[in-house]
Amino acid sequence: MLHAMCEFISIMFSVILSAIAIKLADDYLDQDMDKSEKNFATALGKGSMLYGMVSMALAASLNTSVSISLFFASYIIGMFHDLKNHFPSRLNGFQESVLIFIVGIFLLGWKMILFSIFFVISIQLIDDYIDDSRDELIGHRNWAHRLGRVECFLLFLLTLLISWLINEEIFPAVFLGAVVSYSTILYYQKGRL
Amino acid sequence: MLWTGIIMVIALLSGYIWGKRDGMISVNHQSLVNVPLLLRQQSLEKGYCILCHEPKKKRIIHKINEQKGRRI
Repeated sequence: MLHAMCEFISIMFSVILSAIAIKLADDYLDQDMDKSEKNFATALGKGSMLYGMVSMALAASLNTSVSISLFFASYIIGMFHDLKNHFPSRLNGFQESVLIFIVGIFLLGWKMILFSIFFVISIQLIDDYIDDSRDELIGHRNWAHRLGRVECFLLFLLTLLISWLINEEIFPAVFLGAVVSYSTILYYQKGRL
Repeated sequence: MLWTGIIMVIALLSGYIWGKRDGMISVNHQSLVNVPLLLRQQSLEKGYCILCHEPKKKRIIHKINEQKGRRI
């Protein structure tokens, strides 16, 4: 019982720390477009990337497979908007995504990678659903605009359920960790709503 | 349980998309019929074509020509 509790808590904190690392990396990349104080990278300055790396290292030390797979999945989903753009690796977004996907399958197994991809897609969809009106004003690329608000919400439910189906053992802990980290970020960035 | 949820969401999603698409098509067909009638109705009410302002234009040209004639 105690072991199961420890496992649950370690996965949850691993997800929270991964979410911090992913958020910092995302804000660091968006720094040019978003100069507001709500951007964590602007608030933390040059050290934001380093804090992100420390957070990711802590997450990986708590639970390697969950944290690394979530990070890989976020990387793959983040590339969806730049599939044709070329990056410093001389590969385009699509090729990088496929490469990370294959590496992820080899290192962590298909179940973990597919679970993380569906879970991160669901987070992306609900984030776009919540940020719909704000992104419309700024002109950000948003799935709720492309697909429609109701479609976006239903797809969020669908991808969340699929990720639950793929890995039922870790889903509750990952879901709770994601809810805690996402609501904390929303609270910090109150102006977004 | 999970499978039931997934099937329900897929059914809702496909139904919504189908209904939306169907609605858009029927609205398009309806507007194709309605718009010419509305244009004709408004043009008749105002006394000139609301797209090309035809009689109004003719009146203005006639006035300009009249003014030119007086100057000469």
